[in-house]
Amino acid sequence: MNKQEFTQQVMEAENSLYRVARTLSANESDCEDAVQQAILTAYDKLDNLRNEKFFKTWLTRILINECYKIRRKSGFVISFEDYTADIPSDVKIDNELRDAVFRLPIKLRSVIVLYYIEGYSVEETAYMLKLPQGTVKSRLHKARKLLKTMLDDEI
Amino acid sequence: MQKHDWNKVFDERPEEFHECVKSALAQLPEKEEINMKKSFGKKFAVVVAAVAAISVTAVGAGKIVSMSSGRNMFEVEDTVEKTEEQAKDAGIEINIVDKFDNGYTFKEGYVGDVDHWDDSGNKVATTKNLSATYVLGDASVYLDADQKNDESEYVDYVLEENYDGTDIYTYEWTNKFVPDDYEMTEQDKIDEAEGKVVFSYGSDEVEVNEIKTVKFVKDNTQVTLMDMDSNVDMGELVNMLKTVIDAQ
Repeated sequence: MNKQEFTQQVMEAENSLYRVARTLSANESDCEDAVQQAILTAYDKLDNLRNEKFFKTWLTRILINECYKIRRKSGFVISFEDYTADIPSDVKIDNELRDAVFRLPIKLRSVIVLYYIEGYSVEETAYMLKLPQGTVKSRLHKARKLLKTMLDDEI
Repeated sequence: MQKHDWNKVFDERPEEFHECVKSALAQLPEKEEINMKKSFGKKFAVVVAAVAAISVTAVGAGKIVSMSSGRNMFEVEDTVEKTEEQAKDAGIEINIVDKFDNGYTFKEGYVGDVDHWDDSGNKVATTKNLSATYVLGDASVYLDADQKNDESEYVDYVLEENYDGTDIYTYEWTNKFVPDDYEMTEQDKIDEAEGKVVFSYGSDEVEVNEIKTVKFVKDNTQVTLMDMDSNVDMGELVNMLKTVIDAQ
């Protein structure tokens, strides 16, 4: 894979990278910092990627790690209001579901986004989050329970 | 109840984000074609960047000395022997069952890294996890062997029995995925109140997932078998776990 091919693959994954980064970041600025660093790191470590068809999953894993690094610097204490402060309300957005997702603890939010929104399998989600598959499944279960509770309460 | 759409949680990526991505890509130097087909030995220390960075930092000299054998998707093994070897290399002492009496047969396995964090967001440990898949037709049962597991807050195991000196724990629940306008029956309400059934809304039709988990702990290694929607009942899953215990 040369630079041109790498660039093309990154651009194809751009929307997904944004959603994942936004899930784990306090604001748009942290999103941008994380994705920039992830791109640089991935390019530098490109020879670690054994099979090109796993590029997006592999890059997402790197991005998740960069998001965690930024979160650690900020102390992991980020309020729901801070998370959603610069997300504009939009008629095209399911604001109720969005708010419920962002109220989830980060451990649960990440599996929900990767599994339901990005469409990764349990195995892929486990790989990206560096978790056992059983843990991913139990977190999905817990997250669904919480979402159900929050969405019911909103009615 | 309002119907919710997962595709409407996020808006399109902002233009600033797009510019940021373009800027990062523009900075990249040209490099020679990277041969991604070079072979990796089992003892090869190169892992995906996230794990490799941790190893390098720990050593301090830019030299990776610890084997983070890292990945599942890239190093999935299709034999018991290779999986056991990978597990033992990672410090997980477990004898893997090749085939259970009920026909479930080993399909594949891998060893990956698991990070553990404290409540302050500090990583306190990275341990190894073995995951193996057993199949019978289209059904699967999953085995995990973990050196440490901190998910107890999500799953309340119940002591089922003591088998040959080893405690066996079980946990099961029903996940019922229903349409937004689903009317709960009286039995539904009772089951939900008793914690037997968890309801999720948003499907087109009623979907029921039966999830069963059994586990034992030996020498600080937790071994679990999990089943989702196969024909395996809890008694059968417990018997499968006994076979795993007997194999150790």
